[in-house]
This record gives sequence, C-alpha cells and structure tokens, in this order.
Amino acid sequence: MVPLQQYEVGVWTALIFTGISLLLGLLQWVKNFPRHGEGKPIYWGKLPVAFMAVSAGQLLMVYIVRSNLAGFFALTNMYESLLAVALGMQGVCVFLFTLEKRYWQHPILLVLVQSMALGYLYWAMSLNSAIEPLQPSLVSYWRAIHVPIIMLSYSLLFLSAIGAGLYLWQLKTAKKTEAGLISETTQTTLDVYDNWTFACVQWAFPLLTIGIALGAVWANEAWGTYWNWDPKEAMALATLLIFGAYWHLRLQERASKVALQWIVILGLAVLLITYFGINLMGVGLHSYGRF
Amino acid sequence: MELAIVLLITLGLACVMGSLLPQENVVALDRIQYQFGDFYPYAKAMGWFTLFSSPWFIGLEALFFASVSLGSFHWLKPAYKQITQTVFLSKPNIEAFTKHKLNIPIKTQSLPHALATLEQALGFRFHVREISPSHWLLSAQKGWLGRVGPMVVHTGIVLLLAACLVGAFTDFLGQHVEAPSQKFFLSEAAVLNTSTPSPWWFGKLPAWQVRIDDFTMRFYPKAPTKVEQYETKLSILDPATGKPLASGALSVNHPFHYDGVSFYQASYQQTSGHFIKLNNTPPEKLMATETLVGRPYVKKKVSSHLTLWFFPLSRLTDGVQRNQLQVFAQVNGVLKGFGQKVSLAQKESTSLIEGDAPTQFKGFTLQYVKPEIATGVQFKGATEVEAIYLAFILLTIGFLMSQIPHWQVWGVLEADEKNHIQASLAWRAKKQLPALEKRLSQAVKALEGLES
Repeated sequence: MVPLQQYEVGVWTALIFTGISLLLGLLQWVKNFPRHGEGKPIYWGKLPVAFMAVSAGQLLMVYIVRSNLAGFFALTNMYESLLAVALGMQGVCVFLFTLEKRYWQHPILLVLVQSMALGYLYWAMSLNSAIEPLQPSLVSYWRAIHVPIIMLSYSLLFLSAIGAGLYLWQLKTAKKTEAGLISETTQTTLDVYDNWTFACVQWAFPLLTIGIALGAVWANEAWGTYWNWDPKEAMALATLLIFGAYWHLRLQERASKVALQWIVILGLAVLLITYFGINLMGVGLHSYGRF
Repeated sequence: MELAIVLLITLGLACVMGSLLPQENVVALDRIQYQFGDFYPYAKAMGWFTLFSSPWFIGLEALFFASVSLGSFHWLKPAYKQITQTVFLSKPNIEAFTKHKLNIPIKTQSLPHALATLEQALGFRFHVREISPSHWLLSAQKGWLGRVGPMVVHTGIVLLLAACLVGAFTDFLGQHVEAPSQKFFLSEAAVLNTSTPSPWWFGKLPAWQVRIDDFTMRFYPKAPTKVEQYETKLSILDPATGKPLASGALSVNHPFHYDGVSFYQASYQQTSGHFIKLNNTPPEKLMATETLVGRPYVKKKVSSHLTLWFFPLSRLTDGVQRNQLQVFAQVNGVLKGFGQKVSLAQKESTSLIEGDAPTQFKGFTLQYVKPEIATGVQFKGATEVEAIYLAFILLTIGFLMSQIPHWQVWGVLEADEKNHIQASLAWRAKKQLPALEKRLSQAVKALEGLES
C-alpha cells in the first residue's frame, strides 16, 4: 500500500472541511437555521463560511508543500488546476461574504459554491497526483504568473454562473401577482444575485484579459508566436468575448437583467469547453493540462 | 454599440466552432469526412476546417476592428468632455431621472452651511454655479481614473488590432532542421511562410546565413527519460566573408534575437542511425537505429567465429543523455541464455563501446559512432511585437483603472420665500452603486439633522 503524501492528506482534510461547510450551509438554507446578520450578529451562524475559509487555507498549504517538494510552482496539470479552481472559488466566496453582509442571508450561494468545489476536489483525487518533472516548455517564470491569473478568472466565472443560475431560478419560481409583478422581497433577492454575478465578472473579465495577454507574451517566447489559434487559445478568446458582451451590456444598461443572466450561462457553457473540454480532448499546444 | 455586441458574440461562437472542429488536421479530417458524408464538401467550402483563415472569419475580424475603432473614437470625445468639463443640471433635469434621485428638506437657512454638510458627509468636493443667492447648482464627480480606464482599454484594443494588421503584411515564420556545423539561409528553410501571399507581402528576408554550432539535450538526473531542456548554439555569418556577425544560444523559453529575427527551439531530429566500425575497415554501417525499433536486439553474424548482438541503451553522464549500443559477442558459439533479458556466460564478458574511442574485444577493434542529431529551429520576423506588448500594457493598466468606481452627483440647493431650503440630488454610478447610496443616505441624515 502506497503511503499518503503530505499534500494528499491536505486535500483530504480540505475535502472534509468543505463537506462540513456544505452541510451547515444546507441546514441554514433548508432548515432555516440562524444566519449571521439577522438582527444582532450570530457568530456561530458564520460557521459555514469559517469552515470554507479553513478549507481554502488547507488547499493553499497543499500548494506550498507540493511546490516545496517539487522544487517548482506546482500548477502544471489537471490535478493541480482542479485544486486551484476549488481554492479560488472558496477564497473569493469567503472574501465576498466578508465584504457584503447581504450574502449571509442567501446561504444557497455558499451551498452551490461548496457543491462545485467538493466535486472538483473529488475529481482531483481520482487523478494521478504524482509530481512529474516539468517538460521544457513549462520551465518558465511566466507559468507562475499566467496560470494562476487564468485559474482565478475561471474560479470567478464559475461563481458568476452560480449567481446567474440562481437569478433565473428565483425568477422562475417566484410567486407573482395577477399583474405579473414580483414581491419586493423577491426583487431584493434578485438584486443580490445580480450583484454577486457582476461583482465576480467585474474581476474575472479583466483577469482573463490580462491572463490571455500574459500567455501570449509567454507563447511568443516559448513557441515563437504570440497567437496560434490553438484550441485552448481560441476557446479562451471565445470565453472572453462572451463575457465582454455581458460586461458592456451590463455597464451600458442595454439589456434586461434576464438576458444578462442568460449571457452568463452561455459564457459558462463556453468556459466548460475551454477548461475541461479542451483539456480532456488533449489537443493542441496546451495538451499538458490533460492529466 | 449593438453591432459591436453582436460581433463579440458571433466571433466568440465562431471561435468555439473553430476549436471543436478539426483545423487543417489531415488525420482528423479523414475521420470527419467519413462522418459528414455528403455534407463534407459543403462544410469544407464554407471554410469550417480552415476556419481561422477563412474569408468570412477574416471579414468578421475586419468588421470588429472597424467597429471597435470607430466606436471608440465616437465615444472618446464625449467621455473626455465628461471628465474635463463640469456639467450642471437644473431641477427639471434632476426630476427627469427615473430613479437615483431624492429631495431633502433642510432646516438650516444657510446654503453654504448645507453645502459644507453635504460635502463632508459624501466626501465629495462640489463645483457650484450660483444662479442667484438662493439658488445654487452643484456638480461633483469622484474616481475620474475609473472613467479614463475604459478609454485606455479601447486604445489598447485598437493598437493591438492595428499591430496585427501590420503584421499580416510583413511577418514571416519558418522552420528548419539542421545538423551541427551545417549552414543555411533563411530563404532556404524547409518551411517558410509569409503572413500573406507574395503580391501583398511587404516584408524582407535577411541576407545573412545561420550556422548551427552545437545541439544538446539535457535530461533530468532523477528521470532519465524526461528531457529537461534542449539547447542549440548558433552563429550568424556574413555571407560574403563567412565571418561570424554574432553568436548565441537558444533553448525552450529562451529565444535568440538578431536583426529583428527571433530564433526558437522547436524540435530535434535524429538524422542517422547508430554505427559500429569493425576493425576500422571497412567503416561500414553495421545497422541503423531503424532496424532496432520494436526489437529487443539485433544479431549480426560477422564471421563464422564471431556473432554480435546489439542492444540500444541510454546512459546518463553528468546529466547529459548519451545514446549507446551495448554489444554482446559470441565467440565460437560460447554464449547462452538469450531472451528478453540476456544472461551471458561470465567468462565471455561484455563490452561497452562508447564515444569515438576504438575498443579491443576478442581480437577485434570495435568503434561506436554516435548518431547525428539535428536541431529544429523556428525563426520569425515580426515587426509588430513591441506594439502588441504596448497594447497589452495599456489593456492591463486600463482594466486596473476601470476597477475604480466613477461616481457623478448633481444637486440643486434652493431656498423658498420662507427661507426653507430644499436639496435635490441625482447621481450616476456604473459600479459600486450601493456604496455611493450608502454615502448618500449618510448625507441625507446629516442634512436632516441640521438645526435651523
């Protein structure tokens, strides 16, 4: 039996903390357990987010330990990128909850984030976690700049899609008056989801742009061309363009809120192909992201 | 604006299509030709399999370039005015706001006092236009950098697209495989592509010659089959005199630049097999590597007394991989136990023939000649790279600036005959509206709390 590596223990611990956070979040949502921020602050109402923070911290430690063992920044394959996305999602979610009190009243946000993170962690654990030597094209300081920025932007885009999905679901299930109007409470909830989505895209879109630009600079040094129309590059550009459309329509207030959420859902579909589809197809110059 | 949005989404979906369909890939095209059946010729004619160079995709790109350029210039001027010029709104204008407006009755009778309270609570500095002593118009904005940010971003995008357009008529890209000590002109390269066909290409190929001085592959000490780095040393030669103009090294992620041309480590190729010289004469090739592929060993009967078995193997010396052959000999039939794993009679021993040094073995002189490995060098002449990097810098700075919320607040302070002041406020914020409204609610409380 192969003994567990330090970093594998770290991932297991993160998985457990994520599970606990998800369970507590579910209780807050389904059973209406006390939530932080209702009247006076209820500190144990913060527990789901606290466990999420511990899980994110644990994943961060995994990167530190793994990078130390590898001798290079350990973000090179599918296993490590899945951990990075889970870490990014949890880190940003904790940050948003800390920043905005309104989110505490909507534990479904946390539940969905943790469900997704749990899925990614579980998937990562089914992949080969061995530390492999780097191939020459990956031996570059650009890897430690380009890849984390892209991963963080992906994490933010996943979070934005959660907000958009919840908006559409809330709108569909809301009770309407005979005139087809929704209650003020429902409208407030919709505004919260819409703000969540925009807050995420507001950072994801610039980060994705900067990440792609830095990747182009790296490609110019490694492959001799800053743009190859490689499937990963073309899909990243597609993701950028779709969210670019959302960004402009949202800022210029040229589209209805519902249309905006659907654009985010379309962006999610494109993002899924960009991240998982192209990686699993193992095609093009970015095929080292496969496993 | 609407056209730009439509183009953004259309280009995005076209990119998805181009990523999922095989592009200029012969093997996959064969498969897809079978799957598409009768529809294949139509799909091919529509450029589905050469999508990124198809006329309709290039047309979309051109349209996008035109739309972004013209659109940017269209709104740059009013946006610039918005920042540099102070605009005041009258009360009817403020009333025309559908939301983001409020009216506050104030008890104080002093307009300056009301203004000072408003400024303190909001953290803004207002410009004031005095219509009359009892009627003031107010205007303020905060975070002008956030308004400039999108301008910088759009300037970056226009520069980026313009640079790509220039590159489309001047760039060249080539690849050449060459063994150490050999020379070549860029015009003689095995692959040489200009960015556009000849009549439309305005670039120039350099006249100097390239000589490959050396090529090495370095392996990971702890993983001997994994390549850590490929390195090529080369010299640029004056074609007239043959003297070096420059020399340097290139490896993956570390290109070599000379005279506007960049060289990249792209590939390598073994151009000859393994050789064994026997007794120095004749210097014949006993076998080539190709013969060994897929076989554990190759047997060569040299004479009625001597048979040689050859096994390819690799060994690391000082972190550098050396290709070698291990030679096992059978003299007068004394050699036993062949199979996948060879065991030899101890007394027959073995000999490892390495490098160029001849080795004496059982009365024979054996000499191993290592295979020749040529380096694959990619070269590129691109005039627009600096402009593209500048565009990336503008994009980065512009996006960071865009994160700063730009807030505008307009107001009217009006006193009636009874000296009761009415404050009317309207505001606009593209980002962080709740934060501005939080400040405004504090301002309302402060104004309402004023004593008469």
